[in-house]
Amino acid sequence: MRSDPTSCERVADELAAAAGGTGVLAPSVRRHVDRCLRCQAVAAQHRKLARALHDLAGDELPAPPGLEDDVLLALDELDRAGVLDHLRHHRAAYLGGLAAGVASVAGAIVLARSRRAVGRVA
Amino acid sequence: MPGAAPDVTFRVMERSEPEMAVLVASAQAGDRGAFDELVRRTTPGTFTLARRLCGDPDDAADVVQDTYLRAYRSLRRFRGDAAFTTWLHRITANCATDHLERRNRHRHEDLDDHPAPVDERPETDPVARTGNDELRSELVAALDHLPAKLRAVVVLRDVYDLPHGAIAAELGISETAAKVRLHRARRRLREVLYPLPGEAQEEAV
Repeated sequence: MRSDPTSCERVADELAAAAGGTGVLAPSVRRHVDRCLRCQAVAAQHRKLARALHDLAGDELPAPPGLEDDVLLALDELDRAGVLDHLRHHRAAYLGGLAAGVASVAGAIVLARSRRAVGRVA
Repeated sequence: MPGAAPDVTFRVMERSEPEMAVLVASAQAGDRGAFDELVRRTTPGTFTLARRLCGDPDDAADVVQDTYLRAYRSLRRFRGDAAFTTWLHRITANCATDHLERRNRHRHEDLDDHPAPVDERPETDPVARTGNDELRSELVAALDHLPAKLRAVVVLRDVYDLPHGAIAAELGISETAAKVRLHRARRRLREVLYPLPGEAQEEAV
């Protein structure tokens, strides 16, 4: 059976979509494939390709030497930065609290002195 | 993990990997040693995915590092709905996309405009080729030659079996766009690995 290149091109995407079970062929496309040896070959190639791709999932490529150590060092850096941020935040809070404490003690002293002065005048 | 008390509920979903689940729970509770162990156990798998997505070992190493830093920062948001490795794969895909976009921004090139790789082998008859190893190595080479945007989708869908929705979310594209890219990637791979006479002539022109 001769292939109609226009139809073959039209169904090429459909065959790619159906590969790997991600799509279902429309009846008109199926009819074309049933009559077209070229598209049957393409469909078979897609099935083979899908299996080969799926098989790659079992592969594990060797990571470059030192990559794991680099990752752990980067995590150390992240931790250190986090701790420094934490300390910076706490230092600011401590200094703020200290300043507020000093201000309130000074205010209390001033208030006490002014009351004493008022008492003496009276 | 800087900071402290665990405020997440970890649901054990990795029945086949109970040790991993325990490590994840400990890491979420702030045990840095547990996270280090997770890194040790998952680095080969993460590198493999990154290598498949980037097509280059140096880029893949950068992506692996970004992946673990991002995973470490957001570990508390992992709720165990999927396996830890699946969650890590999604982060890897996201980091790979960011990495390749950053790199390509400097290169000023559109990945979709890359020409299809030209098959320079004199013998391309699939009947003449036997052995899965040969097909596998040719497939890996063809994947490496795909434009990154197409490669990401076909690797995540056909190799790692991620659903279209997850792929679209990780790559920041619509589900329709993800499917279009997938079909285009499959067509290109098929044309490179099993070129039909007409296709071989088109490529040669």
